[in-house]
Amino acid sequence: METYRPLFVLKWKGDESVLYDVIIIGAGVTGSAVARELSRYKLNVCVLEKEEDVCCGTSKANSAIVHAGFDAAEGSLMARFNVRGNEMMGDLAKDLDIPFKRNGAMVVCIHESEKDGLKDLYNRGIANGVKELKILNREECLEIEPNLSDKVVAALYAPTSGIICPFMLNIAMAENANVNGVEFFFNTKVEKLTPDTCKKCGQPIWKIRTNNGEYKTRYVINAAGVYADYFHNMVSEKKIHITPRRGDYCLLDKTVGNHVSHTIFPQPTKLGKGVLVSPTIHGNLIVGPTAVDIENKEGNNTTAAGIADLIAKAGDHVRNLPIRQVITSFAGLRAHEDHHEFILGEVEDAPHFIDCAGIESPGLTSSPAIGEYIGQMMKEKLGAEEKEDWVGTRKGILNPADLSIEERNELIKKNPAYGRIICRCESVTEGEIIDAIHRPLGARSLDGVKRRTRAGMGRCQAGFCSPRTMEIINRELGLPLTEITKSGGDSKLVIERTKGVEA
Amino acid sequence: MTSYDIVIVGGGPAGLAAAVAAKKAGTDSILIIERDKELGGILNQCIHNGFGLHTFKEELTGPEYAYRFIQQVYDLGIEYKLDTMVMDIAEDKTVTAMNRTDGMFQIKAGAVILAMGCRERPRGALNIPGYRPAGIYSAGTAQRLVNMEGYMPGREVVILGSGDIGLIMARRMTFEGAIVKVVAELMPFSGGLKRNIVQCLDDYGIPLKLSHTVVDIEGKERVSAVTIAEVGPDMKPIPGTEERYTCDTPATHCCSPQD
Ligand SMILES: Cc1cc2nc3c(=O)[nH]c(=O)nc-3n(C[C@H](O)[C@H](O)[C@H](O)COP(=O)(O)OP(=O)(O)OC[C@H]3O[C@@H](n4cnc5c(N)ncnc54)[C@H](O)[C@@H]3O)c2cc1C
Repeated sequence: METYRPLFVLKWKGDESVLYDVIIIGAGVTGSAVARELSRYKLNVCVLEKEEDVCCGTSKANSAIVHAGFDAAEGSLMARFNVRGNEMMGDLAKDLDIPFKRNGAMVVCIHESEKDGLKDLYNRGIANGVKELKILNREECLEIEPNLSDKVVAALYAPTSGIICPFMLNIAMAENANVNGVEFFFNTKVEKLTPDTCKKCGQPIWKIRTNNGEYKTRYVINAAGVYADYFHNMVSEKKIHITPRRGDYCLLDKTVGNHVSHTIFPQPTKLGKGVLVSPTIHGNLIVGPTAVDIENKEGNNTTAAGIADLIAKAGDHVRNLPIRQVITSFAGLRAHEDHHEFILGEVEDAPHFIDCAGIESPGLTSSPAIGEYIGQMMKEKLGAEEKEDWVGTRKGILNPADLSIEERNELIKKNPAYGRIICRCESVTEGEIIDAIHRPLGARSLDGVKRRTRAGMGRCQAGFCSPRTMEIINRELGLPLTEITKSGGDSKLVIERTKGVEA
Repeated sequence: MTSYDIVIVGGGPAGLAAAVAAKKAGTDSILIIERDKELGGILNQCIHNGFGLHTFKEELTGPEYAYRFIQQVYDLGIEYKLDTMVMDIAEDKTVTAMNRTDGMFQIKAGAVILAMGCRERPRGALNIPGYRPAGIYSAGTAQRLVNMEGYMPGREVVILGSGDIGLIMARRMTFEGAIVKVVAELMPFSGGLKRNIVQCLDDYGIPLKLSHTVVDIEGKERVSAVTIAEVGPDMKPIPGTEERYTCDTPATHCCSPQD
């Protein structure tokens, strides 16, 4: 086995002569959770990501609910990993210094005739191992959630359900993996996988062609989200098929963030868990998603019809939903595999190729458990030893709002950048943005800064802070303003100087 | 805690005028708190003329107009703090503010005047469907980029909303060599001044389409096209009226009061 090389610096490109033990395709929550678990061992691991940052795929656009686990079919992998992931989330959030709250979920029944459905859901939850489930009658429902629709008949109540920041979860797991030696190569799109044999050991290896060099590895982990079928089918005769299933959302202003305090679901249908209304961990109100099957794996555009459909359904279970307070709408793509089940493990006819495919909801919740499972599997396959110096904790970006005035002034004295507000909607200081840029796997684009600090996520949606954040990125990274992007690639924000201004 | 008779939040024209008037009326202890690096507020990026006709009886540009007030503030010795953000105003009129040099500090105010101007509503609040690529700006952000930072956000522009800033930016971007393809307005009338429609659009042959809204934005990384359509009396797009414009910068313009 290659010796393990800790590497804290961000390199642009891998070393073509290295034979990695494991290469992970995709830096969403799944790939990042696996990377973090693998960083425990003396293994040579890297992650290849086609986008410019972690958390650019489905992991950035979802409901951000840490599901309790009553929804998934009994005995399924979805059920198992959901319940385990939910269980792990509390400690993980503490270790990684990210906000997480068990606010509880309610599945609300508004038709007397559908009450049996709640009972079924309850039984399924119990079978899946979900704790503390209860069925509440109308009065009990309204007592804990006064803004429920007047039509409420009963609800399934799951206190273990929670809300989390999907960006922070993804970023923190990746950052922690990186600090523990896993390399990340961005803007690196995997194009082709070719099986080969190691000349030294005679074991199967994979050659990986990308737009950014060739890589060699003993094991490939396929965590490519909606593209996971593409890689699976490239190496296996047993085809799988993933449909991008789009979900549109509206995000509402913080002034109405406490309209409900629990995550409110309708009763589930074949197409999924339906349109929910929930507070977010940051205090907004989220409404969504719709469910529309599409062809385009990049089709995360919202549509007028989608948003209209959402608004029509949203009011069914919550009264006086303040939908006019919307500050933005967005859409995410579920990686819906035809059998609606996670596909985890080594592919039968493709040795050393490990799938993490079909990771649709509850994929966010399940990610730590998937990481744990795959980590354990790789440990056994590679006979890996644990590192003595593995650090499983990390400090998040300091939020001055958590400090007292005295502490805050102490901080500003040491570093005046914490005295300057850049994003006024979310009260983000220059100090936080500088931290986001310079920490491991730091931000290089406006969206990168936004996902790490929330600058630009508020009511004005970056109208005010964009030029200011651009100036900071320009200064800290020495990137010319015309090279700064919204989210990598060609998403440049300005194209040239105005007339008569010296370049 | 330091105290002032009047604390004015916002050093734009309204805040400055209020400060000058209060000073002239005999109040000595006045503090203006401005979050930007200079006084003048939004006027600093409004480099077109047409300001001052009422107050000064001459036609001035935004910065010139602002400077008239700023000069009075200097002359009258009114105190101000720049690059300072008001974080909180308590019910007892304690103002908490913060900047790089003073840190976080509190001021007891006899009276607080809120003169924070307005904040644009973002694209999302307008529920415009499509992707989320770069190149979509509120008219105010586009104006800041062009007039204050000296950068062009794009070369082919579609403007949504025909408020004055949108109209003025249509002309400004044209001056900079951009092609402004169309200004689309949801309402059956323009919210902008007749003068601006004539001088900023008509004079440059830029079409104004009333009762039109955006139905799609294309482009994954940077905007590549925008489709607009006519709306009926219910404000909903009328199928079959879609027109697609290739462009790289749609700007929206819509203001909501500052909170
Ligand atoms: C509408 C919606 C709501 C949801 N709500 C919830 C919820 O409330 N709770 C919950 O638990 N789960 C939820 N989910 C599910 C959850 O968001 C996903 O399961 C999870 O984010 C999947 O993560 P991932 O890492 O597998 O995929 P992704 O985040 O999509 O990551 C895959 C990565 O692979 C990269 N990649 C793809 N192709 C290549 C290539 N050729 N080369 C290199 N890199 C490549 C992509 O760029 C991407 O970064 C929801 C999903 C959706 C769509």
